[in-house]
Amino acid sequence: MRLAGKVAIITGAAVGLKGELMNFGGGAAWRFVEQGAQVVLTDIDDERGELTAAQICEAGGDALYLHHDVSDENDWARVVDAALARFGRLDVLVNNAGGGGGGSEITSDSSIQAFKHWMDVNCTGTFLGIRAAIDSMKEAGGGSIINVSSIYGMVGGPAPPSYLASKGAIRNLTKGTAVQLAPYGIRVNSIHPGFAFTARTRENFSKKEEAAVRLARVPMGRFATVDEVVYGMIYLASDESSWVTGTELVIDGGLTAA
Amino acid sequence: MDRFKGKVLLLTGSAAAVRGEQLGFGGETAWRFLEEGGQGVMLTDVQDEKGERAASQMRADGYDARYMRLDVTDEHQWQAVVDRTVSEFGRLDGLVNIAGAIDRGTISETSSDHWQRVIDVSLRQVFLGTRTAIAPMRQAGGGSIVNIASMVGRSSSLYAAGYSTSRAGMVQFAKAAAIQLGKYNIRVNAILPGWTRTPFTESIYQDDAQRRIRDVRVPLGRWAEPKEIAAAILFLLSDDASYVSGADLLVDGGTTAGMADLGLTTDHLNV
Repeated sequence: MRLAGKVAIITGAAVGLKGELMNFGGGAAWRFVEQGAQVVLTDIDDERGELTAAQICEAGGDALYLHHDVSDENDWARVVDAALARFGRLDVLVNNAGGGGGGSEITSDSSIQAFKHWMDVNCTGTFLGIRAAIDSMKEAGGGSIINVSSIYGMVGGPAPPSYLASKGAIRNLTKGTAVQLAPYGIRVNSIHPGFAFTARTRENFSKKEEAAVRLARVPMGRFATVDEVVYGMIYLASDESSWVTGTELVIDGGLTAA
Repeated sequence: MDRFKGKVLLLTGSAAAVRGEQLGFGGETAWRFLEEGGQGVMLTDVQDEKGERAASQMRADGYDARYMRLDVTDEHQWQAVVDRTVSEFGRLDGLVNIAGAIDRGTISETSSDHWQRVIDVSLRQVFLGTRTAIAPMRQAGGGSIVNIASMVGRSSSLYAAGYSTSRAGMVQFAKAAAIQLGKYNIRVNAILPGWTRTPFTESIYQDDAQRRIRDVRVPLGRWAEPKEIAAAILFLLSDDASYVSGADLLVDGGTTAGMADLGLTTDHLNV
């Protein structure tokens, strides 16, 4: 078991109901537990989050769900405190919560409000997460922080401006904090998924044309599964990656190599 | 773990695989590949005595391993090695390109012959190795090729202009091959290791001044163990990385993520 004895907080983890298509966070919660971790799932979708955590516990895992707006500093303090109270330590943080909105094309009237909102969730949320985890990870003698960026943090494309900007910001926030936190044994890395078939993308990627136009650009000719991104997280969360910090793990089937 | 059950791996530059002696990237990778269920390993290098000893040590431990001499710039030797791998073990699933040659002088001091050799060892290696591996990997239903480039393939070093340039080429070749071979389910990736203590770098490590210049630049404050690079190689070889292709994975303790050695305050930037 690659994560035995580790305690992980995974944000944006509500969509993980057994037998249903999941998102990265929900998928990660199951696989992390399978690898021996105890997990704290957080989200704003309390109903599904509670149910997912309950299902993980029923299956013999150790999981806790907490309501969590990642753009709220006080929520972060509450989540980390609760994680410590329940599991006694913190080793891994997956800053996975995020999204985008406000139209995927910039125009003269692109929503400023949408831009600020998603910068808050994606970018400020990641900053607050790193900030909230530092003390307990120091205490644990080190830790691993995994920031979920995107290929849209590396290249342009038809995504909302807030998404492009925040995912790019996460990429270099990761490097800077990796350099600064390395003396404490805290590793910080970013993951850059390409097009993955998840609960969130299912509707869009099930449309023939939407799928075809994307897959034409993917050398491997198919979408990623949730697991294929989650296994990248497991590598970065585990001690297998003990010398990996400040790096970018691209999981895109060759998309951005082209 | 049984990640490599039934799989066959070929590695270049992998003679330093004798347990009890200093191991290189290839040696650490080969042993763990076998321990995690691998069906067979073909070690190759130009250090025959060491390579033969390593392979027989693996066989003595109950694993299936062979050693063959391979000058990675020689097309015919590549064909012979791949043919033998398939005839001995029945298939080929993984190829790890590790072999390297280094130039230690300034640009002015480097002869054009030496420059060419450094470039050829890196680039003819990945071209010929990939080209030769395609057919058996297609037959196996897919495969994984990992080019061990270097951190200096991204941010160069004071010396070793040829090595840095050639290792950058290995990264770019991985991307080109990834695009072309994705349709065969052959994944091609590059790893960019930072300073790691191996037989290849031991002379630098033993030189106090040389080691210290490097130590201060690593945020994690130490050199890597070869097994930490091997763990990344094994991740890319395994099905855990089934959607990872054309990627360049830095494993450098944070060295190229930023300037950890500056130690300066940046308060003046708060304008």
